[in-house]
Amino acid sequence: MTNGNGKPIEIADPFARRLIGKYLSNRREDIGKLTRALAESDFETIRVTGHNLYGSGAAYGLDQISWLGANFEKAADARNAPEIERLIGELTDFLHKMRVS
Amino acid sequence: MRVAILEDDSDQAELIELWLTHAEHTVDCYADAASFLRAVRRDSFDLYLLDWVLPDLSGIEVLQKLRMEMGDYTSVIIVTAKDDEQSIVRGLEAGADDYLVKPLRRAELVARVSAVLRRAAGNKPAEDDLDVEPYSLSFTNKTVRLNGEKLNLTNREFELASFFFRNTGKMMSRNHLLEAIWGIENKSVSTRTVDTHVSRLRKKLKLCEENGWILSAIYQHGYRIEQVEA
Repeated sequence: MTNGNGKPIEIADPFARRLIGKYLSNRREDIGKLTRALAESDFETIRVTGHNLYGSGAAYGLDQISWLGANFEKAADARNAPEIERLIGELTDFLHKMRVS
Repeated sequence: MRVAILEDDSDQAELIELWLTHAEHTVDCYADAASFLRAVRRDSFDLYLLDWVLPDLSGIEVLQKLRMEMGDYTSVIIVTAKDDEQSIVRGLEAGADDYLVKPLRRAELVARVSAVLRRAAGNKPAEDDLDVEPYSLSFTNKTVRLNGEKLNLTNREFELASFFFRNTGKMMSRNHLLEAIWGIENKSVSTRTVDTHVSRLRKKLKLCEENGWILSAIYQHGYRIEQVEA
């Protein structure tokens, strides 16, 4: 697997490795959910989604997802739509460039 | 050991389940407080892992209900992304035995689960003899004595007796007893077998108020052994 810069990301935990395909697929669905929530100014959905991303990312060995999740939560609390839009772009880019070897 | 997890994020629940199953625990996952509370009222578990932020009730409210309904016999770990000191103190003051901050790490989670379960068992190795007046259980000889007099129990009955006495005051579901005494792989044994063994055990141990212990059937749930005034 590679990160956005083509650098390999090592999923050290064998159990997380087993579930990582499904996990990433669910994160791609999150992009649609976050985009719709932003269009409807539904900051609570964005906050909860960010909260879950924060809680799960690093457990799966993806610290970047946790980092993005924490920032989604902060931006949702501040009702900062431009920042949320930027973070959605960053999450999309991260997932798009991920490769499972 | 039997562990119930209340976690609304399926990705996190699934990973925790895999971790704990690999550590030889039996795990049931629930995504909301309502289904979790329904399950724990009809079944029994050794440990509960509660997320804080949930779609219906909060993990703290669930914890308070558990403590109210099941007393202090239940082991609970709060597992949450809330990492501020105030939340940690609130969780522990509400009755949690431990508090784990997300993102979780596998080895730490497994170690903390073991530590809480060990504390709940009174830090006693499983092989220690057990004195529960007027009964005494010897794990070396697999015997139970009542007022010093040896009772005639089969190995299975001895295991059942020791399991009950180690879980005094806790409601133990039939499924929990099946897993603990007959082994989780044993699919050929029905819950009726549990009822038969419990009934026989109650007679052989002479469990009654006169001896200071009663073993009650909890309708549609399981059994609970309790100490009463003789």
